[in-house]
Amino acid sequence: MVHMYRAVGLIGLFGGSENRVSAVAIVSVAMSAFSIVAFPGSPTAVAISAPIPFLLSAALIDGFDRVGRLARLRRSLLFSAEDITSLRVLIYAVVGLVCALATGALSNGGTFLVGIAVSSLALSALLVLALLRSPSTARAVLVLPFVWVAALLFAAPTESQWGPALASVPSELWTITGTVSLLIFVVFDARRARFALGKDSFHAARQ
Amino acid sequence: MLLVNDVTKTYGKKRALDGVSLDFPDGVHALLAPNGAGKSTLIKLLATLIKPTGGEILYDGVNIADLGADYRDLIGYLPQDFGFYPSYTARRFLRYIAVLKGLDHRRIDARIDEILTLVALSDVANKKLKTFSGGMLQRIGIAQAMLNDPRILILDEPTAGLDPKERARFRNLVARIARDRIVILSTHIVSDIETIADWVVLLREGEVVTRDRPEAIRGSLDGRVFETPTLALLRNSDLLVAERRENDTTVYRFVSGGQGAAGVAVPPNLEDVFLATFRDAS
Repeated sequence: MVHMYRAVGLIGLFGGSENRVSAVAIVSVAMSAFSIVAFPGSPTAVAISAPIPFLLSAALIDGFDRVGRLARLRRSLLFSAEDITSLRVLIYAVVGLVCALATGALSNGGTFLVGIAVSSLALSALLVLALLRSPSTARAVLVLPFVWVAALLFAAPTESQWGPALASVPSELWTITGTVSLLIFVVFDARRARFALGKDSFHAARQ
Repeated sequence: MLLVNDVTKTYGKKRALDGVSLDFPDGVHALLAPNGAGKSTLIKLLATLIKPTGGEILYDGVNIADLGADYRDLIGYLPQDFGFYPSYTARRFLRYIAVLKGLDHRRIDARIDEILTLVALSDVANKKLKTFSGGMLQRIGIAQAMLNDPRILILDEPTAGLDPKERARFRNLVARIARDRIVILSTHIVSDIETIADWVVLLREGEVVTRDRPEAIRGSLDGRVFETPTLALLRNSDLLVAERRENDTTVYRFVSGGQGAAGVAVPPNLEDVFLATFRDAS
């Protein structure tokens, strides 16, 4: 992965996506700020907003790339669209983790909400990875942020019932579960990239 | 040598390719077929965009699925409906593709200069792609495909939508870059490949109808192509393939459906063969 990043750099990773990267950053900051200010201490608000940078990145950058007119060509290149996506989602996961930790910490709910934020990010990351495994389902990442928000908004009215149940679970358990899930995500994503590239691929790269 | 060995590709119940076997030595190979005959499917298989349902594709004896990225490093591919980033300049776009092709960063700018010269676009290297004509964009398409100096160049309907002048320019460009490499070009425009193809493959309904040298394919209609100014002389079994004006007279060109014909025998061309082969489909 490191070798691939050195080979393609930011140009290869996000070339042609500059406007969409900006849009993701703006929407993510706006949603997180709104969530923190409008719903302090709400597990639902944290669960919705924590993975938004990750989900929007996957949708607006990789989802759009898969339906864009350059998609066919990019799949035939040495560093194919699938390889680039594998590396990108790791970057989204790192950035997403920082954002999730910040959202959880600033939501005035202590370590419990930090755990919820990390778990929520981990779950969404695993969902994205599962969808990206097959070309037939990969396009679904385009709508995943909307499905995610809609599902949690649907659950929000009953928060008084399930919120205390979640809060009764030790916050360390949330953090550990979320972190382990993210680690699983990283391992699977890296394996996927390795398979996509082939075992000797880096010998072929003209570095 | 690229070898397609008994390859089948199905989409649900539809069989897009059915037991296709072909070999591709160095030279220009034209896949000639009407729309929907399977040539784009074959191109996608060769470009690794899809996998065969059955059979295998070998490069120098190794399955391209096993070669993985090493195979992708050998190919240059120009898709049908070639996409681009309109706000990018030609140079910036080529640099982006060069990075994804794994070119040495120190060599990229020099290689882009070489390629832009090859496709005669050096003077517009810093112009945005949205200002380019269709023909110029296709040349950028060829340029990106050539960046890694590919052993196998795959061009899917490269002249669709181009005017005759740009098509002629494109033909000359392909002829120039075809030396010492495998060029596979799919088209349904016969005149695009008449003068540049070393091998012609005719595909119909997912199967190879014939694969031979252009002169041999033309030869299959020797003595069966005629011209006459009198349309009434054509029989029901004859196939009218062209008509043209000559000295205020319309001359009808046809492929005889039986023995002899009332007209002047003329040398057949690939278009005659194409139309005769696909008369049922058309």
